[in-house]
Amino acid sequence: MEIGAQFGFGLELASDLWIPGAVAPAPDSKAPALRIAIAAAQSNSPDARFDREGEAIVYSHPAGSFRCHPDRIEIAPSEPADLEDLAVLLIANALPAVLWLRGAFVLHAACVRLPDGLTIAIAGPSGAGKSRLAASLVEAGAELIGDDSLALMVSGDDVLAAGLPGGWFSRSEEGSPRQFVRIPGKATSGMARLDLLAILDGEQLAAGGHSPITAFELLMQNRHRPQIPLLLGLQRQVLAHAVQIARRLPLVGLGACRGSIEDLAATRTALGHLARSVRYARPPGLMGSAGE
Amino acid sequence: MGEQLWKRSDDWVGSEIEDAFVMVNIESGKYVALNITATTVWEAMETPVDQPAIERALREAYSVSPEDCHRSVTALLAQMQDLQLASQA
Repeated sequence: MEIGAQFGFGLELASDLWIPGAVAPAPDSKAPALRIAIAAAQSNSPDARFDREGEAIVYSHPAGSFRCHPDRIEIAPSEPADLEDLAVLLIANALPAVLWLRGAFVLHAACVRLPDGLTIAIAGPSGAGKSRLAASLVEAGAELIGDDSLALMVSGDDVLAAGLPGGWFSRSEEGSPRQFVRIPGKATSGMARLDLLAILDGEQLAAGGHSPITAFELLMQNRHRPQIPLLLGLQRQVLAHAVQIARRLPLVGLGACRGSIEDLAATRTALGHLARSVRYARPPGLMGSAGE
Repeated sequence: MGEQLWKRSDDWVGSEIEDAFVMVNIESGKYVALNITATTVWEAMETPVDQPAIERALREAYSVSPEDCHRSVTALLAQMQDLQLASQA
């Protein structure tokens, strides 16, 4: 039943299920770091939820349950199995769980490498326009590193990022179902060295450069599936990781981007300018905000 | 009757970043960023301590009038109590 080798989040994957956004592995690929197997059907929880079972995280959903370990995911689908639903749940929930289990900091963000080589993670609240901006940048010649979920790792002085670089989910118009948009001919690009964290949210963060302490707060605000490290008792590691990333990665605010041609063009231009002139500003107030 | 003692909550872990201190609650996942003044107060509470001792620690570190210091520390301790960073022993 195995579909074959795929590559995503910087990992070789052996999966029974097509993974939207995964790409072909390099010809000299190694043994898979993560195996995704479909087990026998069973009746599943009527509610969507994460639980810890020993060292594993179990994501339960009416369509199926996903038992997540650092090196494998076992999927028990409901009868009849809807493979497309399972694939969407896999990338939105089970894969982020595995990334936390493997020690990554998982950011809810899109990421692109601009034609001049600059690699930018774009975070912000739902509806801020992350995916629209990433898609616009890809159309303008940027390379997609990932959309929606991004694994960040610290390596020396660098922050490395990896996601599913083979496409993204998009709506053709407001309210229509999301469709997967594949980037044709895409091959693996491994993990990318990240140059900049950009936040798309005009109401929350002013345009321009911001301090590492603000970067820390925004990294924490934009964790993907933050309940998973909480279930695993990994808050110390998450804190240390967020601090290390915030120290290394310049942060810029981009204002809001609502997806109009003018907005996208203005934001693309702003990205180019901001990326080259990051300035730090002290955060205001006696004490920063508490989150979660 | 002596001043009430203030003590830190054990549920927080912290790390320095730039000239501030950030902390995460290991039970709830809440996080907070302390500036340099709040960090000095947090450090002063390494063992249970009363408010006058906290104010003395702050005045030793910074040039601040006793009145301003008392006002700031009172507000800060109330904020820390709200965030469950510290409580009265």
